[in-house]
Amino acid sequence: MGSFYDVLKVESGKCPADCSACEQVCVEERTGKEGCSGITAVHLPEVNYHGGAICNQCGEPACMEVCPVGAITKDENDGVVRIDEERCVGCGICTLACPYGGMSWNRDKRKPFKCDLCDGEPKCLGSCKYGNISFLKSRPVVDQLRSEDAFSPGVPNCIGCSVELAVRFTFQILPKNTFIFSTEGCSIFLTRGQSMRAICALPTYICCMTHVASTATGLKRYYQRMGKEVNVVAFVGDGDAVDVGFQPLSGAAERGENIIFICADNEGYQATGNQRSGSTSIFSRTATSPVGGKWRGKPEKAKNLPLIMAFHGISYVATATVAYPEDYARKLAKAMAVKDGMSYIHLLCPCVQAWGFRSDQTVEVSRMAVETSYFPLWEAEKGKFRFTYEPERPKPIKEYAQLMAKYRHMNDREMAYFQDEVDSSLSLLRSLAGMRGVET
Amino acid sequence: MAKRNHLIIGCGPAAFSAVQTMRRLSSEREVTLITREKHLPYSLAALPYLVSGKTSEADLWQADEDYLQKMGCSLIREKEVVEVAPKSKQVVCKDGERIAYDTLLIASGSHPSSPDIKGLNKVKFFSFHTLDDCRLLKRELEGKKDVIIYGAGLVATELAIALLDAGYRVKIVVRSRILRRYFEPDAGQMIEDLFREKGAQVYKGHTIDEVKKNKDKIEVILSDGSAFETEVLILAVGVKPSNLFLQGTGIELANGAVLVDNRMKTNIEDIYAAGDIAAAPDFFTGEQGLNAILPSAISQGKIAGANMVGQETKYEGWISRNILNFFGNTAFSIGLQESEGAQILKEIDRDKKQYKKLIYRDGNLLGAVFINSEVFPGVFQYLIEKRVNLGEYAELLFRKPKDTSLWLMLENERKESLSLEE
Repeated sequence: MGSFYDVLKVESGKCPADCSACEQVCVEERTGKEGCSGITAVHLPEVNYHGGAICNQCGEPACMEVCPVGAITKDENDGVVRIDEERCVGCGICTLACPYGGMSWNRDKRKPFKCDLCDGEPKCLGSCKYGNISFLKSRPVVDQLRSEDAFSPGVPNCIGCSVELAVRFTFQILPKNTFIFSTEGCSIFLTRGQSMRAICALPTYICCMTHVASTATGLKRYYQRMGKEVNVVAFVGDGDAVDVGFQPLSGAAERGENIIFICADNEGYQATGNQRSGSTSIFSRTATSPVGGKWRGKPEKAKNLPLIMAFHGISYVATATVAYPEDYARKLAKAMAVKDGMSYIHLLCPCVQAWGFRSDQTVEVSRMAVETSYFPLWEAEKGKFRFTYEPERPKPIKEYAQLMAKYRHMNDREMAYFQDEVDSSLSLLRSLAGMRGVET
Repeated sequence: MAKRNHLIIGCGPAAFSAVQTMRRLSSEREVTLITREKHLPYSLAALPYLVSGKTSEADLWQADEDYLQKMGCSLIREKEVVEVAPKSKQVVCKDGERIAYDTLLIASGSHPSSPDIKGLNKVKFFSFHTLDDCRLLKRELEGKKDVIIYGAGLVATELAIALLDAGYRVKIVVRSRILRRYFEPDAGQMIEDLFREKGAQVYKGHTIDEVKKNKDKIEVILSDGSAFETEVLILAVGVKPSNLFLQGTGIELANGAVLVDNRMKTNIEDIYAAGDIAAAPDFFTGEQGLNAILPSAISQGKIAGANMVGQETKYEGWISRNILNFFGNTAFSIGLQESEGAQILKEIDRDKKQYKKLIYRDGNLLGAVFINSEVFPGVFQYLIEKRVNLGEYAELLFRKPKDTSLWLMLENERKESLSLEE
């Protein structure tokens, strides 16, 4: 796993004019030498720029490549680029090689100094009162990833497809003893491949949309009878889970089958051309709920399937998006740990084509859905509800709606109604969660 | 398809960086390195620090046998290539062995040029280019005090620093001046003064005309007739590409260096070159030329390695650069010293021993020199390489080089990531 590591990020140019707290704390705690720190405050009042520079802990560190005595290494475990001070001869070629200002120079020691993330607890992080430094942690996710991609090249999904991202991510986490049940929908291009070529590394069975949960049940029961521990995972779209395949899903939940059911919800029948589903949100423009004449997009509210599943009293229910992979990875691990009943995970999967946003905005849209509380991240474990992430102040739903074309026709009155809907589902969840705050 | 066999002549930084790139991009193919040396791969930039005692031989190796095995490449040591036969796709070794290749990388590096000095064959002198040279020199230095270094290029200067650090009395004789290629006369003078402060004697604008053996010592006679004695004589007047085995092979050479395009490919299919042997395109002009410095060897090795395994990668061109950390001072130079129609901003503070200079044209930075200024040298390389337009901020960059260069870099990074989104 070469490229997923924890890293410190400084927001560019968002610092106040008189603050160098991050640099000062690094000097105090680490080098004791003014002007030598792992993070550098940049103040340029002439252009009203105040920000900071820090080592990126690069994947292919230029500093490491040029070091003539091999004193700079990249730790395979935590990704940190470190200088072995004993071994370093102080030639300084690394300071010439690093283009990002990550290699500082200690005039006293006549040797370079750089950020090593303070062994996982960066001191500068706490020193910043303005939230401009973030410690992006991918390690917990990486720990759960399998070492190989589950798919051969040639996946035909649209560019920017969040379902592809979700499937790839999910299948990397699932262990080898996993069976996948899939059906018509955007994920089928990965699970079955196009032209019936099997390209998925996990054993997959493609069902009719009407009986995914019941077919999965059969296999799981077979292995239970054989005394063999396997994961049986249904990975379907919202058209199946919310509409066509809902009855067998509800039945399997009622029976408490030990399967994991994942719904990749792109709010419609997107593989067949954007027909509305039971999960399509109110006001969404779709092929079957257009805008024009009397129509203002979909007139009905969406079903809240994760809540419906939770009220089946199953062992584990969660919502997740690919914008919060750490959160999703944890939930998937919890679902796999359930041995006495069903787990259900509802993934919000924004659709580039049908929702109408740029192909590079997939993660941004997913994140905004959470930040506006349109799609809160929560889980219910044996009846106990809790938020796994809660934005401090939810952003107005307008910020989410304006990111995509399907809500573009909405007027202020409709937007206010939409906001009320979001607020009331959030307050329902809040009451279920007993006003509990974020627990990590 | 049979596995392709990549052969690399040399095992210095360029060769090694090519191997690492090949391994990162492809795991299938066989890689073989051939070297004249009997040692494992090392970087000659580390050798001066062996002399000053800042490092030891144990820490010198860039790779041990285990690592090479892990990388799946074999290293043939103490074998000299004497001929390349492109038609049969073989190289011929001194012992007569022929080794076949599918793709060949010439990274044979350079060797010291030998100056024309009367009486040189009658005295003991040292060059400083390989670990063996370094070992011999170290042995000779034991119990001695007086050293003359002839030359003041990169190797000579680093060696002089190491010897001064280790307490030797050092005389530097240089035909022109210290680090002429990287620092113009006034900057060079400041560096020279700092060397003198440390006790070095510098004789610039002189050649050594004659050397004589005088009992235990060597008498050195300069072009102006002055003469003095020394215990140890080191010749470091520059390097020449090691190209003997390439003559008459059809591989195009210019001034002794192998001409390569921006993929590090020579005029002959499947033959590449990188490092001190290669005349690669210059960043500013695109003209092919030598730039025998470590960072260029590494980047050229990477480009060659990638193209050799079929990953087409273009070289942006080399930029001359150098950094010298000596006696607590830092001198750093990058890019051009002068250029037609370019604007130059310069400030010298002789008391503080500070020097700064920027050279730019049409808002594009062409070069910079800083002595004892607090800057991040690599960020200036970024500004040149990425052709970041300074706009109206050239003077601000000059006045506040550290903050302004970081700002320009960070803003450019931000814009690049934005343009990726569009």
